[in-house]
Amino acid sequence: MPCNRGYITNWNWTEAQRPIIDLRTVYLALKKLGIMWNEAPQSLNNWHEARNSLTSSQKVAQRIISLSRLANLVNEIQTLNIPQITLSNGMILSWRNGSYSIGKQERIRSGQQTQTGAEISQFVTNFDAAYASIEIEMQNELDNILEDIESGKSQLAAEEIEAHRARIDSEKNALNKSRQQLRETRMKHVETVGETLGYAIRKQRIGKKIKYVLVRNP
Amino acid sequence: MAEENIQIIVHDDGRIEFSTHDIKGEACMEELEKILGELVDDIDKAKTTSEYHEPPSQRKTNISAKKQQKTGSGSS
Repeated sequence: MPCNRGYITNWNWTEAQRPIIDLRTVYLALKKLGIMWNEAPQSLNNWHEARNSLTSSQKVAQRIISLSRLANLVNEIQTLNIPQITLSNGMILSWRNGSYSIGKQERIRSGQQTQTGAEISQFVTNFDAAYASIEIEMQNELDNILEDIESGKSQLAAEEIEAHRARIDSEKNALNKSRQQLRETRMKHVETVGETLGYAIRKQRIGKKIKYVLVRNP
Repeated sequence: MAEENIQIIVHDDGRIEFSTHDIKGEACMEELEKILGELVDDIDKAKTTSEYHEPPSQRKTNISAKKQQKTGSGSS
């Protein structure tokens, strides 16, 4: 029987370059990197399938159904509560304070240096690039649809325009809501911890940013 | 004496940017760790400036020292 004595098991975590908040973007970024999300929620698989099935060759009625389905699935995905995402490469995305951190379990001898630090760092870099590129791609896709509708270029029936708008709204709202939650979590954290540590806190809104100045009380 | 302070910016997309001012030596990292440690995993990778290497007792008001890390796209 193998003896594990002398080994410790810990998790090596690191935050990505940007906050990871959107499950759909995570799903597509992983696909882009060729990494499986082990046991991904069915609603995400359905969403991906519905998104891919949207083609101009579909009949209008069929496209309207697909668009409505997409909008519903986006709303459904938004309600998912997934504290941990396990990947086929052994990495884990763990929900912490409003966004996901990336980590990997490692078994090292007590006193040894971490073996997974460089591997995680490399994956974070790759994932970050894929996430950013998918985020832009999804945003552009919606913007282009909206632009075509508003310019009259798409020449769609009123019903289809309505379905497109509903889908775009659901996607944009989902992302905005995630960002807002993250912002609020982080603001609350700064305010609570700062106050607990005895700082006087000045809060200032600068455009869309919130600036805190924490001053040590004399 | 300059006022010791920590400035934290929460961006629209949730990214955090921070800098410390007039907190000398390792105390600034310790303070940041206490405040942001739970939010920022790799806080120890923040860029250190000249103030980091000054002893805590030394006070200079003419150094515009800054320690900054962005946990976001770095585009701001």
